[in-house]
Amino acid sequence: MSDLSVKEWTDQVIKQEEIDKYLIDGKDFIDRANINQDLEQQQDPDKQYIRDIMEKSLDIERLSPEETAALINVDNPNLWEEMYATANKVKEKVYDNRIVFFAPLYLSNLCVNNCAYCGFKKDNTEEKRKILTKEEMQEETRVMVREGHKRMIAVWGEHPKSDIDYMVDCMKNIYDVEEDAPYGPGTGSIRRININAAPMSSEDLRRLWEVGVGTYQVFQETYHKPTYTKMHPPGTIKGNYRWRLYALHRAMEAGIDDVATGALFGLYDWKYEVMGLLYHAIDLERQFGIGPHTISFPRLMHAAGSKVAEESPYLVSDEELKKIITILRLAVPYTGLILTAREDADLRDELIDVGVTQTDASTRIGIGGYSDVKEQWDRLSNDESQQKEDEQQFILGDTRRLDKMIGDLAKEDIITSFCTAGYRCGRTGEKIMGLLCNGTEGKFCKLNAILTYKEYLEDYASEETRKEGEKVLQKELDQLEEMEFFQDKPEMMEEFYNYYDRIKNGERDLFI
Amino acid sequence: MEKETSLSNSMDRMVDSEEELHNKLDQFCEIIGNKYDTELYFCEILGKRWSYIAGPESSYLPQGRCKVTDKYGFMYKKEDIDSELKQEIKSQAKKLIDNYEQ
Repeated sequence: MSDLSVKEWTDQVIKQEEIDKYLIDGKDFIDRANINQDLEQQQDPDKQYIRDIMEKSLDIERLSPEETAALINVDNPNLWEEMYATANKVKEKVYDNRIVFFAPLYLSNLCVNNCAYCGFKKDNTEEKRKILTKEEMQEETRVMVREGHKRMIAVWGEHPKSDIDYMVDCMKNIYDVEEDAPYGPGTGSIRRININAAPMSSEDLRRLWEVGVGTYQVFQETYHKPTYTKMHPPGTIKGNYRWRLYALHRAMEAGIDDVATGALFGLYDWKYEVMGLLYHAIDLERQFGIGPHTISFPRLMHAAGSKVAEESPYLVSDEELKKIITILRLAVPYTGLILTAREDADLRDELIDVGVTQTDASTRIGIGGYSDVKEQWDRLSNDESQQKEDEQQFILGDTRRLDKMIGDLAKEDIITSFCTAGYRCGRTGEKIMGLLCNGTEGKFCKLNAILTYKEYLEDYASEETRKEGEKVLQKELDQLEEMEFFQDKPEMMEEFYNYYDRIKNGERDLFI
Repeated sequence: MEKETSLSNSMDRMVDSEEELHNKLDQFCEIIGNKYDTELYFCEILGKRWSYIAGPESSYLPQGRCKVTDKYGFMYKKEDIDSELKQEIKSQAKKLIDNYEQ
């Protein structure tokens, strides 16, 4: 934890040279005129052109700005139906019928920034401020692990008390937690911590890398500079658009090869934001050879102490959100797409079909939110507890627990994967992108999804979910027998079935 | 034992060379790969993360994991490398890494 005063600390965060080095001729990669021109020139696109673009997506090629703008401008409802179906095909080609689950852990809501739409903003006096101690964060983690979670995204506000020293300690403390499973013989732990933290210097990012960070996630919020300036007051750290715009570039340079971007949809025109996300992916590809590991598309939600969500003219409808996900799936086919519990249950279930690859469940976003519900959750397997507006960054739309969601998805033949093998076998960054694009990683993920799903069903699933889950498992095992890819790999399959039997017999954390 | 002796001979020259560790490990993987018709690659160990640093960026994925030091380990194809050979590779890799870090 920093000894500096808030002002001293704030003044030393931004390193101008760590922005300038990525600029080209003094310019950043978001050119407003270019984006507007892309969107303007691709009005009323030809049907065949759109179908050709979809073919390119099916070949797992990232689309150009012109092609993406054409998709954005499609008006024909029948063509949209084709695009939804193609997005699903692209997802199946790269990620099969899997969905990966995670849960967020909010460690501190102290913040030096004053973002107009955020419940954590420093001027929000309604917010109860808290930063978790070691014991508290480990207790939170134990509750999450007892739900069956293996992946976490750790979240902090930007503040000297939650500086890089605190973050590193948090990660070590969380990784240290082990907790017995409620039903089976397994002992669970968090196997991969992704983080959502404010932009930082390469030196600080290197420290996150050294303690085993998974994905480093920074949302630009809005790529539209005038809106950005309006939402993030000048003079605050977050008021510096370019410091944030190049946060992921610095992470790449620090060695963190899985980076994640996103925009807060509803601050500005969604069409512009989709183009911004695409240009971000393109610039990462250009400067580092790989694009973002995941893209998120949270929608602006009501937050305590803010009227932005009620007053914005750019709020995104459910139908527009479906279009956004579809376009992103087609435009950046290799990337993971994250849909969170901000959205309500029915919509989430529908949107998973157009290309979402990761989502959360049993989500609590209050500081200490998991410990608050621990007793209720131990007592009631389906309890969906109330939220606390004065301790959360925003209000959630879906508070379903992991067991319920996994059961619901199993009825749709969707398998939940808790696989973290890539991260623990050197298959990240450029290496995994190549494997994703040629479809190989998906095959291995299938095996590891089955193994981790089996673990989950044995250790954490209710009777009802286990019953549905076993049906999914059987279908997956039947598919393996039919897949050509595995037919000429008898040794690997022997190893896989050996692992599967060992998991049935109580061993855990076996992966291909 | 024949395998171990010749492997050891092949490695000795590399240990003493002036090259960067990543280059040495690349060569190491190439020698092992050619000699035993297999694949392996090296990772840096960062907490729970194993991060690829050297060896073929192949489309085939190894299934075994062997920790060489607190900071480095390698991934290998289990069906090609038995436990005896794994130990020999580990010991040669350790020599290479220790020598570099001194």
